Amino acid sequence: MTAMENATRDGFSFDPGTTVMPVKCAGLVKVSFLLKLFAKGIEGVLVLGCHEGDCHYYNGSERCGQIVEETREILGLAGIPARRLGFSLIADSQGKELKRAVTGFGKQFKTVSRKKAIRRKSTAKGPAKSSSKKSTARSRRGVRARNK
Amino acid sequence: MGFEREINKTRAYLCLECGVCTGSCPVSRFNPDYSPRMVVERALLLEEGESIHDREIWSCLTCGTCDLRCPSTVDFTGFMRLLREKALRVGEEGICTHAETLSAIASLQLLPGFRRRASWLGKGVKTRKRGKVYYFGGCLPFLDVVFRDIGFEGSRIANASIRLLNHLGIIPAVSEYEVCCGHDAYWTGQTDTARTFARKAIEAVKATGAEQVVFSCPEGYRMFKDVYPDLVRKPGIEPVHILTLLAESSEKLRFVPTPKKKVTYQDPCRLAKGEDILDEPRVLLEAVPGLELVEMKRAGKDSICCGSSNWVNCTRVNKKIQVERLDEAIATGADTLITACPKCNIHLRCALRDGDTSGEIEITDLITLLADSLGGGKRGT
Amino acid sequence: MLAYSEVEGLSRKSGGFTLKVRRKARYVDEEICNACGDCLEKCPGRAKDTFDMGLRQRKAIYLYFSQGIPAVMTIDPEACIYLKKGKCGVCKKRCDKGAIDFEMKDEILSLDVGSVIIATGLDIFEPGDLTYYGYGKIKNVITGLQYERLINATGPTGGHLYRPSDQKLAKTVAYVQCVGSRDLNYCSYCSSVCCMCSIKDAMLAREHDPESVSYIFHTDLRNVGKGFQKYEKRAAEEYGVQYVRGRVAEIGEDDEGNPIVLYEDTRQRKVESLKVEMVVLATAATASRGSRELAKMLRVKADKYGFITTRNDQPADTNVKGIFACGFCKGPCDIPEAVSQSSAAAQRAASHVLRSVGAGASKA
Repeated sequence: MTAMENATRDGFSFDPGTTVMPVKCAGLVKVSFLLKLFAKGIEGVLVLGCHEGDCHYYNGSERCGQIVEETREILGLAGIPARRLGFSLIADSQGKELKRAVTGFGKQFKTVSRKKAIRRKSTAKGPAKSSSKKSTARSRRGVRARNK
Repeated sequence: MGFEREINKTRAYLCLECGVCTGSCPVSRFNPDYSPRMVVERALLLEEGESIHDREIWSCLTCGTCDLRCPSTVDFTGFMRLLREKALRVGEEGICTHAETLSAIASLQLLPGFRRRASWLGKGVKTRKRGKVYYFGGCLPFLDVVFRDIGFEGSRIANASIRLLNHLGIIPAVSEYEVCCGHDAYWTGQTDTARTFARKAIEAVKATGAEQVVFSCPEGYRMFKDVYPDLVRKPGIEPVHILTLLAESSEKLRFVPTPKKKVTYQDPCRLAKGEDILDEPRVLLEAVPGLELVEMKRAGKDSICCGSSNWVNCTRVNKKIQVERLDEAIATGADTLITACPKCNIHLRCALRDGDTSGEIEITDLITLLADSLGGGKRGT
Repeated sequence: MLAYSEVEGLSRKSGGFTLKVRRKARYVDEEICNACGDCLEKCPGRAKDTFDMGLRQRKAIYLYFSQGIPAVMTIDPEACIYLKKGKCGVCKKRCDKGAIDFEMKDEILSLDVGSVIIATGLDIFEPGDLTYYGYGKIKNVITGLQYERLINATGPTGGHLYRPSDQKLAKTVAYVQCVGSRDLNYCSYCSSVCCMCSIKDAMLAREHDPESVSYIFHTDLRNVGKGFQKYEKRAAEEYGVQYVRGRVAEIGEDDEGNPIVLYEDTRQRKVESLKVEMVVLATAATASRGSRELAKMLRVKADKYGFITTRNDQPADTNVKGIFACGFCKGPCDIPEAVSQSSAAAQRAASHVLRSVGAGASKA
């Protein structure tokens, strides 16, 4: 979350087609949750988590990696390219890294500047600023515009 | 809005309130709040709200024991299904297991332009793009990913099925456009979704020019055979379960002796109770030299459901049913419990892993076992 | 009187019918045999005793049952060693009256009769189809008729409830009602006699053994005759018979062979299981086997269960003039009803015969 704040402070703004969905810990993201996003017709999902070893809950980032792998496998069987599910681990301070990851991931989709929405949820542990960052999974979704 | 439609469709008006359904129900034995008789009785008394909002309507396993034994031939499972349909319509939600992963997988298949990858196909199995016989693998490869942690191998079942078909000289067609059969959507009351699946599934199979569609999964078979004609239309393709096919041509199958083993067989509800496929698996098991089949106390049409179905409601009660069933299997003294339904396999494996059973037993899929016992066989992928 | 015989055909002739009857060979001369039983002693052939519902074996030469008329022996050709292999003949040597005749053949009789009364009675539904009751698999699950033989002084256990699995005296007995009856899959009708029959059986058990406990599992007790309700009440009050409302769902077995009854007590809305020492299934009563063929032969209408259909306005008359029916062959009824029906049928038959004789006489 802090990384996101850092990035936005540096003047980074999300593509309007992106929705940010903060979660308490990247390890809490579920296969079903990711699959449901794809089932809704969303083009891509980027899962972001804390640096390996930085996890407040001990192994959230690793857990998240497994989940992403599993989901990619299922997507693969369903004929959806695995690259549409991105995964990066970024530390609090790495605002630029986040910017790079998001823009990089977004490049594969041509849907920029279509009807988009951003949803946002604050991290659970609000007050503590620096180390309270649990981990953030941000989802970047290119919403397919049907009437275009 | 009363229950007239549901009552008429399922002949619930014939209910004698004798209690056979509830007495037979594997859920009612452990969950005093759930009673098929009371659900129907309440509907007959027009206590609509109570039934629809009752979470117990999601407890039904749809195993069909009550349907079979009901002296008035009331279609209880059908009634439950219609109640669920109605509950969804008024905004209730089903109680899904596995955080809805399985239903999410199913809905992926409804995306426009959906094409599945046949990456699960193993080396050495022969398939084709068009042909008279189609093999319907259904969700097996997907289940593989979800239930890998309990050692379930869905793709192996699918590959084993094709290998067995190849052994009989059949090279089945498979299609990238195949979708979920809609079984779970149907039984959880999502009739419209199930209908969409049905249309797409029939279309995909038909596009390969198939006249016969072979299933290794009891649920898909049951859907094609009994549900589709009512739900959409007659598929126009003959559904056949692989066990029937194998049993019919059992003289063509050459099984090599396996290490001596005592096995017991879990009848899947959809095969035993719905389709009378009781002797086929037993004939095939007897045909494998080295296997000795011992029956559980409750076998055949009286067998107990594996405890969970349609990916709804996996509670303490369901676990108890599973443990009871596993204990029954262990009591036979068998080394291996053979299942013919991927879901029985998954659910019993899961319960076994929890370790509340009275002992240990290995769980093996029947089709995989048969394919692995084939003479000169390449082992599974 | 032609016992051990079967009707094989019927043709109409003026004023009545000609019946073709096969009189099956008994291999024993009915005129000579006095059922002394000398022949039984050494007979080596064995068969299931059908009168004792298979609970024990009988010899190849046998007396069907002790009160049977005519009281003569019969040789079962399926079990008799002499008739099958041509060797043995012990009974012939034993019978000093010379009643045994191995050369006897079936006889076909042609009988001119003025009227026919069908009174073929009932048979018992085979409960093996209801696999969940375990009949045939669990030894101590028996049918009502088998129970009748057990509790009968002339039966295989001399009137004691020694259960089949281990010959132990059964003290707790569960009676399961509506086995096959009132079931749309099998016999959709109510067999009408089983409720009273089970109550009577439960009372008998208590009379034989004061410690006996009986449970009657019923859908609802259909005791509709005169004084029947009183009887039901008396069984509960004086004989300790316990009524449980709920059809039994399943019968299991424990390691000692005790049946375990699983049911929903619908009054308590609870699923319960009860361990008993024996289970008696009140199986549905059906029209006797072969009643469909008989009806076809006599051109008499029968319903889908094989019960002979009779006229509503004349309950003893079938659709064929001169053929009458009474008793269980036309539908479930108890003994008093069957007796009164048979009187009615006899009277109808007599008046039919008299009328046709009268008509014939006036013509001549």
